[in-house]
Amino acid sequence: MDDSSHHAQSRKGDRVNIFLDDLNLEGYSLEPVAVALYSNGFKVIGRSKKLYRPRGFYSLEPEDRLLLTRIGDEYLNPCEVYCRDGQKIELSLSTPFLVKFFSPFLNGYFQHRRLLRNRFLWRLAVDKIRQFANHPDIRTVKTVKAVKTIQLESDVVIIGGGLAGLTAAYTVSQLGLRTLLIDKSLQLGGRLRYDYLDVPGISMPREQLLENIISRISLLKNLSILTKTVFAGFFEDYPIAYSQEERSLYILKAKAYIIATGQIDIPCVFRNNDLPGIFSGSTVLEMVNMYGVKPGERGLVIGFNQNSLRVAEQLKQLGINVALVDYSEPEKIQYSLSSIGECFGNVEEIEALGKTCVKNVKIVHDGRRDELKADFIVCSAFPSPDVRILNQLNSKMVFIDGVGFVPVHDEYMRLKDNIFIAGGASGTPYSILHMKEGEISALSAAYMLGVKEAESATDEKIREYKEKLREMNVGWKSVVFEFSRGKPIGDHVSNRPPTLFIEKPRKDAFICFCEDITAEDVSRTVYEKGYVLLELVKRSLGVCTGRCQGRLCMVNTALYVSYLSKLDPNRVGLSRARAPTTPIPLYAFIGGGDE
Amino acid sequence: MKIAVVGGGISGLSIAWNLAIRNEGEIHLFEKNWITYGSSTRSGARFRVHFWAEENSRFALESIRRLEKLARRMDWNPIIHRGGYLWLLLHEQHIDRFREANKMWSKLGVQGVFLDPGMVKERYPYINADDVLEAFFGPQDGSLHHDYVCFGYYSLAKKLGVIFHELTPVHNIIIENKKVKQLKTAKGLVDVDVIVLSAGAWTNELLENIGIRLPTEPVRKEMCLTEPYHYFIDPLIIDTGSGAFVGQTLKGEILGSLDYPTTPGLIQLETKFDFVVRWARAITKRIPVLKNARIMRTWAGYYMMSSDCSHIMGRDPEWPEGLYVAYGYSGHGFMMAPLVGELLAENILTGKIPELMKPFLPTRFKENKLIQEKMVIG
Repeated sequence: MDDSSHHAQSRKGDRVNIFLDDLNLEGYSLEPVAVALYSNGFKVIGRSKKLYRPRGFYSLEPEDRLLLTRIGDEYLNPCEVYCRDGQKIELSLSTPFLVKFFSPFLNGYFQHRRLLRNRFLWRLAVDKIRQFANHPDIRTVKTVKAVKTIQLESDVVIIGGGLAGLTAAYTVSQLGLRTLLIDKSLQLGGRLRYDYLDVPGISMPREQLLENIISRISLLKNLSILTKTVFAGFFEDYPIAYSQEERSLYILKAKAYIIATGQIDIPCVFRNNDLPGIFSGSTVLEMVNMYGVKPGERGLVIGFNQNSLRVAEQLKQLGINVALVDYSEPEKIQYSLSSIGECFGNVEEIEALGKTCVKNVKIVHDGRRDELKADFIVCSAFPSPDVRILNQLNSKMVFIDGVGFVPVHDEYMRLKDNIFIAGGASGTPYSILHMKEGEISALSAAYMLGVKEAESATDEKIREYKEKLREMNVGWKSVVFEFSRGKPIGDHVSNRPPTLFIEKPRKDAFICFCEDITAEDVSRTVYEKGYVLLELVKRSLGVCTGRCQGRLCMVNTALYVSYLSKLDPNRVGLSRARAPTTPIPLYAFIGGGDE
Repeated sequence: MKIAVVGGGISGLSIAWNLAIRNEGEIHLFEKNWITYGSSTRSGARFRVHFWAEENSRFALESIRRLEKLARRMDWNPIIHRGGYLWLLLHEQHIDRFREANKMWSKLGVQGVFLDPGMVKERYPYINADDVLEAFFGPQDGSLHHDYVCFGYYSLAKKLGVIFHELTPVHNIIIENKKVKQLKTAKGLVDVDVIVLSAGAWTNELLENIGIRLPTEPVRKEMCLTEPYHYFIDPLIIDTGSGAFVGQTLKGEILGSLDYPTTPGLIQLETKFDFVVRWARAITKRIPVLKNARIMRTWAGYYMMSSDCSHIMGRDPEWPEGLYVAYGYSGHGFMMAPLVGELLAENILTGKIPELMKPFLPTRFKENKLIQEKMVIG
């Protein structure tokens, strides 16, 4: 392995001064405000909506709007806004006394208590609930920024600029079609950019591969690229995309769409899993490799899988000690785990300790209790496809053991009509397969649009792809292809969810961070109320209805409900998502911002 | 007696529970998806007692009282909050219309006050009232939680032994000797004595199969919901100029919609970008601070419109024996269903037609005794 690429990165961009209340802090122009605050030791950047729990950031994805912070004179997601010189940030971190006093009673069903159903007490309660819900006051935001509305026409739109999306963009443009590539990050590359280890199955070193692809696509004349732009979903008339940084709303008109939005590290469910200092695997890699900010001195990585091992290995190379834990047994992994760090299998329960951020971790494994030193935790036990756009399209999702909810598609990577899928979004593990799927989806889209030469190439590519699937032991993919041809989906057993690290439903283990919904709330829904369809669990508890619109909680809730009710996850199902997939300000819709 | 209720929305649930407390016969409820699926779960979750037609106002007034009383018996809190409705009146003829109706309302005990633009600005400083001539505020109107109300009825009915058949579509009604005999469902044929069709937008399909046509059609309505913000909009604000309305939920989300033309029928429940743009323009003109609010979700549902914008309940004596309907709420399902359930249950079990129910019989269309209702919001 090339050692030179594993030195700690320096910070990105120009050094700027940002102001937290009256404090002058160091930030860098190409890093998000949340990262700058973290590097300055400000781990708590807000409090939760209902219980006023201290919260930091779990992921740096712009759509995971778990907290809004007052930046300048707006309330923005600190993970989405980059540091600017003189930027003013205000954190409101106090907890009202009344909330402190009543917080032990404020579970997901508190409003249904008999006492509160009394008409007069309810009137009083309504008043207090309104007053103390921790939400920004929109009336204090005075300025309105102009947003440009731009119509973009193209043949193919590719959503996501990771390995699969980049390959698809290259292949489509090469065939002479007008292509638009949308990516939410500052730079294209996705995992290829922040994960410094090589891509499984590709012999070319990661850095060279990235450079290669980027330089190749930069030569293409018929490819337009939008970075820092979030694809916001398919409305009936048009799909749209929005860029907060560029203050632009894009109305898309294309003949085909390729979804390459990748995977999400689903948060793990354990006690105090909402404390600042708990991150997704990709976030930790972004922090250390892209922004040069260490998440801590000693970390706990949850999960024995390809992704978690990649995280652990890169942390170790930076001199950060890690311990690895998972519910399964360590022998199942071929890697030599001990070379990476301490390793605990059969972990049944995890508890993060600390008042305002992670200070220590308690684990229960093999009937023993251990306390480990760790000042940050990485959730990497379960990478799952980003299901929101797929749910919004009402595409059929099927649960595959060990993989998660996967959209049903055929070997031409077609999801439905003119929509194709590639890479992690279809559940495929990060490897050369992402490239193969990128190529196939592009060729299929081109063939659909009447490009003749795509036809023969497609069959050849599919043959290669199927060979690679066999080589890499991704057998479940062919099952998905069969489902697309109408094979009935068989029964599954409801296994313990890979993200679950509590022995009983706890009220300090959070499932939905936006709405402060805990494992205990979900178990009451299943056992007391008897609701086991996710659509009904969502409606009775409010999971998947917060700012992140179920991005982080939907799969966890479905799997936990399935586990508790012993029902097939396919029967619990997922809930339908609606456009837009990320919140867009009204001023962007009004238009008139055209300059 | 075996009674089958078709439809598991607020209407069907209310009917099933009301039948069950009267403790006669066996009650089955068929729902093609899950409880609340359809128009109930897509509701804007508001109720009002102000209608142009006296029959409707009277009905809604009683109905909401029922629901409020029921809150104590349910194990779900229906989250009823009387925040009021505020109509912003921009034209003289609207004002006249409200003054006229207000006479009828005060007779019924439905309260309301007229506010001049100065008072609007004082009470609601966030409203741009420059072009408002006058406003009308109805304090008895308000909001509820649509899902919790349905869940409340569901668990009450379940406790009383109503048998629920979820995920069971009903395909057809089988009639023999001018009498309902069986329901053809996805789980097979079910013998029944009485059928209550309460399947909202999907009711017509079943009625047409047996040759009954009523002047109703589903119309798609779209809604927008923003991220939650600190609570400040108490009433539901209706801009009679643009047809847009906006309110805030107890969770803090700002919710609204506007009159947006669509083709009637069971069209796809999708939302349009163009709709969001129009609503955003209308509402930010009225409440400028909302420019910074962010739209989090949009959705669509059907209003099952009847030709006189009022619900249809009961039966036509010419229909096969044992067939009843309760649908065509025209967007007023949550306001009317609690009382519809009660009156229809009484009607089915005793054969008598309660006074309040008389104007809403399906026979009104052929007898040309339409209800003079045109006030539909959204």
